[in-house]
Amino acid sequence: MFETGIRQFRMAMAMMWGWHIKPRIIEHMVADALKTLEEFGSAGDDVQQLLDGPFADPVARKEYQMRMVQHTARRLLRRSPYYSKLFAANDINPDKLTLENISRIPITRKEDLLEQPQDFLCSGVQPAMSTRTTGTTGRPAEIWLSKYEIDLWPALAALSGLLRGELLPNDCWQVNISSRATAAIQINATIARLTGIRISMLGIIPAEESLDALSSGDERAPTLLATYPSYLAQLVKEARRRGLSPDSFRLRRIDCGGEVLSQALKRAATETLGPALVNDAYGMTEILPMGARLCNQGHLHHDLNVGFVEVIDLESGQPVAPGELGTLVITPYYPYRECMPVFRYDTRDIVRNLPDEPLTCDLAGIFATSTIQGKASNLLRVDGRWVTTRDLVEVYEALPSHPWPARFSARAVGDHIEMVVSEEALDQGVTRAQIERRYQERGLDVRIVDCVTHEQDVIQLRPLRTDLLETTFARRT
Amino acid sequence: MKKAFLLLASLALCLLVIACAQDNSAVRGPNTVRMLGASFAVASITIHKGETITFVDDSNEGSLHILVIGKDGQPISEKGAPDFGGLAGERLDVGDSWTTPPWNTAGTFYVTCTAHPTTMTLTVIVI
Amino acid sequence: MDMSLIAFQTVVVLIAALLAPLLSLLYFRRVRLERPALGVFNTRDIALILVFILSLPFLYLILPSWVLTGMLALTFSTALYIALRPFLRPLYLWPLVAILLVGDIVVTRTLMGTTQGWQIYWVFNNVIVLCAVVGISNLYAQGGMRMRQVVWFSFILGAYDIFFDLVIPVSAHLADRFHGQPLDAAMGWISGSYSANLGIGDILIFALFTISAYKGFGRKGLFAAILTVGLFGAIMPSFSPLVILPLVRGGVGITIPAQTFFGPFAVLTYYLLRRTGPERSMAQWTSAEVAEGYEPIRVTRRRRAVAPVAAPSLAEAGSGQGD
Repeated sequence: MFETGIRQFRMAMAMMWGWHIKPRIIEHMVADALKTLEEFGSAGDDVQQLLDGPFADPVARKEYQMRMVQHTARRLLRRSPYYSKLFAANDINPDKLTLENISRIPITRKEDLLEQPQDFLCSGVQPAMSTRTTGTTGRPAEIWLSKYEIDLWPALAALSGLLRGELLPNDCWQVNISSRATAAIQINATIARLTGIRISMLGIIPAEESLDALSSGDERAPTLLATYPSYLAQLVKEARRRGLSPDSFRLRRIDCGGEVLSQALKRAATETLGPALVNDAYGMTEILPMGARLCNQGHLHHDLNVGFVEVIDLESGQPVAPGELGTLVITPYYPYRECMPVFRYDTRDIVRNLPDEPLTCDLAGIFATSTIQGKASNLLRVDGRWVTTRDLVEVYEALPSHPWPARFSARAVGDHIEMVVSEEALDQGVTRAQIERRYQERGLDVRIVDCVTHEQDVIQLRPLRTDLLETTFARRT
Repeated sequence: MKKAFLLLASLALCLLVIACAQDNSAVRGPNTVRMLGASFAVASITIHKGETITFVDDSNEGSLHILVIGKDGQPISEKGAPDFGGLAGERLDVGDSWTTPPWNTAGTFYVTCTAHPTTMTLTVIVI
Repeated sequence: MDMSLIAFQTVVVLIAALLAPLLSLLYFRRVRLERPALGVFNTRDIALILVFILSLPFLYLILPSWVLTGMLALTFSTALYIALRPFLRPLYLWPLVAILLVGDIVVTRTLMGTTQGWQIYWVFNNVIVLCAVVGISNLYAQGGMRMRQVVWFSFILGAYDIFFDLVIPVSAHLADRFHGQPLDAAMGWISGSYSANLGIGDILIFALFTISAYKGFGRKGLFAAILTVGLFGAIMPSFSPLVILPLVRGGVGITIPAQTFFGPFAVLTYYLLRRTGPERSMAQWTSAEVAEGYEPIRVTRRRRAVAPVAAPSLAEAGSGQGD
């Protein structure tokens, strides 16, 4: 009890002042959390304060953010070749940075990471493991992590997972994510090791095999599933094809990320696979360990203890007005990133800034935006307004034909959108006219110009993570 | 001559006053009662009328004592006994010492400690 | 030995030894104290408490009285706050605490020359010590301290007691040092020439023992605990001077090492109960209470309406890698 108190204090001090956080302390706290759950069945009354970090008050939090931005920038000036040049070229003094003038610092783009990766490596830090983005939106970028980062992130995630009730000591976790996501794989495996939960790292294997594992029916059947929306769609379809119901599964939670998860697919997953919660989370290799999660009203709440979040207008580069679309620009703080950190990284993930009024959701008070609307590269400019991937996917996946995952291509042509759909969209008697009408009801002028039937052509319409199939030598009979 | 006598008398008076003022400390010698943890070092003491008693709470072996006139921890009102602080008693902590007012009445008196009722009753014989 | 004194002492010690545990137990059933987000009492915590308890008395022997009184006032006010918070708002609670503590100090300075004064002193002191024991024992028990830890704690204290009573006689000095001082860490009574008291350490152990026995083993644990406390925590130590001469300081005072008698029997009681089944955790005990439709008073701190922020979550670290 007393040692735990001391560890909490040390963690709070490190978080508050931006010191190196000893992963060992967090690992011990994970063990403390397990013992607490074993003895009491739940965390104690102060758990929200522990999760909140030392700055729950908005004024204190703003001060904290400014201090951390300066602290991170000072370190980059000293240790990052890329940022020391950038700051010098733009006459940036980290000590004079504020949340208001931070926009003076040019945004970092993926192209910068691709062109000069070595310049992003900080001096005095030994790279230990590399991870690559999956490349679904172009060339994959390679990010190097230090041992400290590899140890720290899963410890923090494990602690948070236990305290939030996202992880229970007797859980079994099935992970269907691409083996290219080495950081995520490493983190998930370490979380399982620290918490003692069972884990099955299956990867992107044929959906039938994953479903066999999910519906094994015994006490080892998974209670947690982590995957992409597109792969989840495959699982749901296969489960429905087999006539399975929620009773066939032990799932209590599904965590999805990396792609747009539509309400229709979310509902279908709940109805078919039976979990109490299908969580649509946000994260990205380049900005790890920054992330965000959904509240009960569908806002995306961002973790401001770990990094600074801005929503920037695509054209002006300035903060967007309430209600407008912008790209998420994120700065993970030191000490959460040390090896190959980024500052004002343009994720190109599009969100809508929320209206300027108080929130009433269960995470009210945490900075929030809309859910991810899609990638900036997929935005369509039609009739003076932006149409996002989510605008199109939500309608598409709600079709009675259940075309999951959504496979279509779309382009703006004058004042309307031309769409090529997959044959699956026209199942169950659904016609092109019906699809177009559904879009019209949402204020979108969409015209279905073609339908594709061949599997490879369908995949080419819209490459998704479920396409990163990992096969074995054994053939399924 | 007269002036010299007056001067000498004044000086003698001063010396007497000074001597009287120092008398309390001088009294410590013969009429001292040491107090240990839960007992008096002696069971009784005999003094002359007009003398005082100095109670000394031993620095090493003493403890808190609350002295009153009485027996077995019970205060008793005894005519002629000096004042021991009324309801509060005379409180002595470790290392403290206290000199009583003069015992001006002959007789046998008792001093007890209310903190140690069964083990601290001192017999004071005034002659 | 005066048998009347023995009898008086036995009654006083028995009341103190049983009243505190029973009230603590009632509190344990009625009130759910706030506990930290993380943490369960473990062996290292017990060791730390032990070091603190064993070394603090020596500090008390050398401190000036006013410093000692100040430290005791601070300690007791904290303990009273913990104990009484579920029932009283701070607006009423702090004045009550002040009345109790100041009253105790004032009585010590003004009325201790009489038996009635001493009795008023003991009323104040007993209320303070009783409330403190109820609060602290619940803080520990509800923080996950288990019966196994309590009994070994008691056993070690027993060894400490016997050593510092008979080998290096410090305990007697300690008892003398506190006796009659403001905020004496004991419960007791005086009647005529008879005076007896039981130290807060012993009372706390008895309370912890009783609560943890009930929590761990239910009614049979409670029964065994009350029996053990009564017989080996109160009656046997009270009668021990009749047979153990070193405990009688030349016939001029008695310091009873209660834990020396109680400790071994507490360990024995625990292991006998263990033979009937494993010791329940707080979660198991709480579930059993909830199943009986039981709803305790919950103590929660008043919090400002602040905006929480998120910590790194499982989902963010795992699958969600948008690019």
